[in-house]
Amino acid sequence: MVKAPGTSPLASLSLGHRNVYILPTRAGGMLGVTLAVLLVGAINYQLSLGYLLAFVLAGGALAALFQTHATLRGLVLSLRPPEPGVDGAATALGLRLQAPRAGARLRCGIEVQAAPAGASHWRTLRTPAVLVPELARDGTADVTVTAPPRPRGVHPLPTLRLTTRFPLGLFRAWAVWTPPGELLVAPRPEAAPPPWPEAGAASDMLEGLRPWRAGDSMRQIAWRKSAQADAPISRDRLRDPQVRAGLWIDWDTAGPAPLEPRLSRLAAWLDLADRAGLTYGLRLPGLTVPPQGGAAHRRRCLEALARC
Amino acid sequence: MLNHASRAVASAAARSRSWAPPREARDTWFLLVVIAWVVAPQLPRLPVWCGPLVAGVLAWRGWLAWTGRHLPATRWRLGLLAVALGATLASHHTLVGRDAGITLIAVLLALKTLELRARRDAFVVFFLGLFTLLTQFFASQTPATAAFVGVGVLGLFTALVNAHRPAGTPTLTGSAWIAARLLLLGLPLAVVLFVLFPRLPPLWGLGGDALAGRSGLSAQMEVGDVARLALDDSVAMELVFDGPVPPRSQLYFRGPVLANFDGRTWHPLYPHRVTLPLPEVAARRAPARTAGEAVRYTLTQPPSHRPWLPLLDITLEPPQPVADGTDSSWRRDLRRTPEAQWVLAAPAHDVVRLRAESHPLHLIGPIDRLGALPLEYRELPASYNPRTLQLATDLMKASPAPPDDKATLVRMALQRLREGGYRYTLEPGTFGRDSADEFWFDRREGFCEHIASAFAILMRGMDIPARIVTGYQGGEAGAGGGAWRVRQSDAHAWVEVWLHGQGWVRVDPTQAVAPSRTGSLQRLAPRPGLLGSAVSALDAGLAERWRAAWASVEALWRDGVTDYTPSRQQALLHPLLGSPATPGDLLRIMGLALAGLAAAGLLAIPARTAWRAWRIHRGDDPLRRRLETTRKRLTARGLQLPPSATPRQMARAVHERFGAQAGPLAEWLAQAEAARYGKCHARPSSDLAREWRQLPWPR
Repeated sequence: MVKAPGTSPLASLSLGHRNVYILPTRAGGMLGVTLAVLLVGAINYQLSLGYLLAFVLAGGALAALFQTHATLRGLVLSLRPPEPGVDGAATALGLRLQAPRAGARLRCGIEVQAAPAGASHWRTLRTPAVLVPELARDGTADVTVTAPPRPRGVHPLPTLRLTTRFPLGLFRAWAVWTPPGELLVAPRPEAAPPPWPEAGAASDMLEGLRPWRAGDSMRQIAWRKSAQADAPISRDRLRDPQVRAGLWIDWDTAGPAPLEPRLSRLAAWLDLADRAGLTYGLRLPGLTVPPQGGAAHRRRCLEALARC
Repeated sequence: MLNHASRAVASAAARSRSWAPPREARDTWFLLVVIAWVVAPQLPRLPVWCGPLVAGVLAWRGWLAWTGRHLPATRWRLGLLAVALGATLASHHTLVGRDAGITLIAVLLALKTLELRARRDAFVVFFLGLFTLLTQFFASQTPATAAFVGVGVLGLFTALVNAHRPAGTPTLTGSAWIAARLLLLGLPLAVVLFVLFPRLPPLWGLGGDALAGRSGLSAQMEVGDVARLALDDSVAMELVFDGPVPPRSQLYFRGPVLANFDGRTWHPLYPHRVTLPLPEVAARRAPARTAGEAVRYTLTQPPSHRPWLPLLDITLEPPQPVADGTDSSWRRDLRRTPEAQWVLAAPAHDVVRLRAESHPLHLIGPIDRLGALPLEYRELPASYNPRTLQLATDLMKASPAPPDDKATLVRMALQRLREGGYRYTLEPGTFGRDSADEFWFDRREGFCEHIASAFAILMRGMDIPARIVTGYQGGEAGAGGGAWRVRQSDAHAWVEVWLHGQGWVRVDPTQAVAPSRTGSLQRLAPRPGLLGSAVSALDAGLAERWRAAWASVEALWRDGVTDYTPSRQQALLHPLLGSPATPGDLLRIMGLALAGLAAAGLLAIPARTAWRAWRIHRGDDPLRRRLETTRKRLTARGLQLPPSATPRQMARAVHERFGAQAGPLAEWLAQAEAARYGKCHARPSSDLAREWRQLPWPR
């Protein structure tokens, strides 16, 4: 149960009688009709065992009702803080289901589906449902749910729905949860971004690496880094202490384009710098992220772009 | 040892490699087995073509699953469906009604497998299977049938559970356990409903085929149609005689009288409606002359679902209800036919208990006015049984007595039966068109139906009015001198001939063929099965005890389950209500019982919560108790801790004292703390309790 830092849940919910709903399925309705016909047959032909058969089936169906409900009841859902998504692409949400170990074996066939927060028409949703066929022996299951694509910006977290028909398919139990919190969607990186502007100190970077410029010799190219960054990167002979302070990805140098393409360009540069393993900072109007590297830094920068 | 173990593992692995059907194929086979189980008991009662068709389709589907081939094209399936429908129509001349319905359901169940993807279509098989299981009760409601159907229900449930476990390859036994658990959990509800759901009379009139197929008496007699007479040992009625039991040769119980013969089938002359209601019976006593003492008895008939009351021949006065609180509503429906048979206006769906007075020695009907008899008693269909008619002419020519001395002719016919090499058998095979000819000249064997029919035809051929009486004959004393018991297997058919100067006289031609059938105590019993003969060979006493124990089980089953009738239901609730329960009362009681069950279920969870809270309030908190025990055990191992030590302090001390070997304990203590003081994500207390019991303790 030792948790790595940063994976502590954003929110959690335990499912109980208050938030698990259940209704018969079409097959359940058919069973009702079948039982009625069996009973009428037993009455009309005076078959005592026919009565018994119909009642045993009714008892089994009722037990299935409770079992279906119990498949969800007692589950604890917890959502990991989601990574910022990308404009127009589906976002992955990490959801953990946890159940008491006793009876965890009987929690089968749970489907998880996500919809934009507040959605009320589940039937028309095209988001794929993720099936949790079984819980692990310790009563847990980790699911990656795909949230529907959203535009760049800050959105409420999507609504999650858990559904199950186990064990007989006669009833469908479901629970709906809109976790508190927000989903950040960063701009989509520009497909073919121009190289970083050379002006000022922005063109310098740690380790003496910089984007390739016309005139750099073949020897100067850092091939491995270039391969990682998908763009030629050269070793810089200048070892200016100022250059070591890092690369600046600057709002002002991203051109006079409207807001979204400009943010896209920044995102593309950010990606490039991150993939090259460079140290970079981000300057936005009214916000400055000092140069640094690593996943947490990238996340912070993407958040800044999303909120812009 | 290690070698053995590893070899075993290796061979198991090899087996699983060589025998690993894909999930889809395995599920399909399982479903096929369940279908075969559900349909198989029906096959003997279905038309002949059903067995090969069902077996062939199931085998074909199994082979397709085995080889992983595609399912047959739509035109194949439609073609097979058309063939099945056509064959059903040809066999039953209809597609509706009970028998055609049973055939159709069985065939459809098999054909459905041809468009079956095991998991998706499990429901269709489920519903059709349930109907097929119900139809088995038409034929039999014995404990064995119930057990068979129970296994079928479990199989259908297992298939459904399996279809809803989408992961990998879950074991079938696992699915079966889940299914069995559901059925067991539902059992209390099933019992409450079974006991309290109002038992109703049939909701609407039953079709003509409603009572066909049940063993025992029937409304007509089709001669030569039954190749093998299956003896049904269920009890038809029980009698307690006021005096000694009359000789068995006088124990004829009069059922439907059949007089209309169309060459193939004997029908009653008087349809069921032409009967005399009770007031008229009193006014118009059947003309009869009796001899000897009247026999008085109390008769108990389990629900027969038939309208006849087979009373001891002949009962002239209307039977009376028994004054012991049992249902007497049958008395309203009591009727008598002109042929001295007692019937009810509606089938007896409840136990009938009555007192009656009979005269075993009797003559009935007009004595000397042949013209008073309906012509039907002398008619024979044209161009049937020519050799029998020739025999009739020959006998009349050979008769030494004057032509109108019919009694001599009857004696001569009986003598022919006795001395002509005729044999009684339960397995005569089917007869052709001229059943009497076949009996008299070709086969010379049969059971009571063949003998009585052939005899009656011969009588009519000699211009002697004759009719067939069906009913029961004989019976046996119950265990320990109990009631006299007549079973369905005692069903019998005999003949009445009208003789000038005497009226209707009973003649039992079967007695002439096989005196033991009616005379002595021993009935013709079918050969015992393999197991039965083995047991008898080992120890006759054991077999006897076994039979007695089984008889008592059957009696319990009959009283509690199969014959749980409206009157039994009312008798059960009578003490509770103080008055006979109406269906409305029953519904109310059932509603109360169900509400009670539901309330118990609803209250169980809050009650458990409250119980736990109360225990914690009292200081009897499981987690705290476990921590306290942990502290004591640690003290016993030399680690002194103050009673006030928190789980975290304990964990730290344990870690310092025992090092790595106390890792699990320290971890558990940390979780216990989280469970008590943490916010969310705490482990459920049941998990903690289990882990605590399995903890390795440091030394």
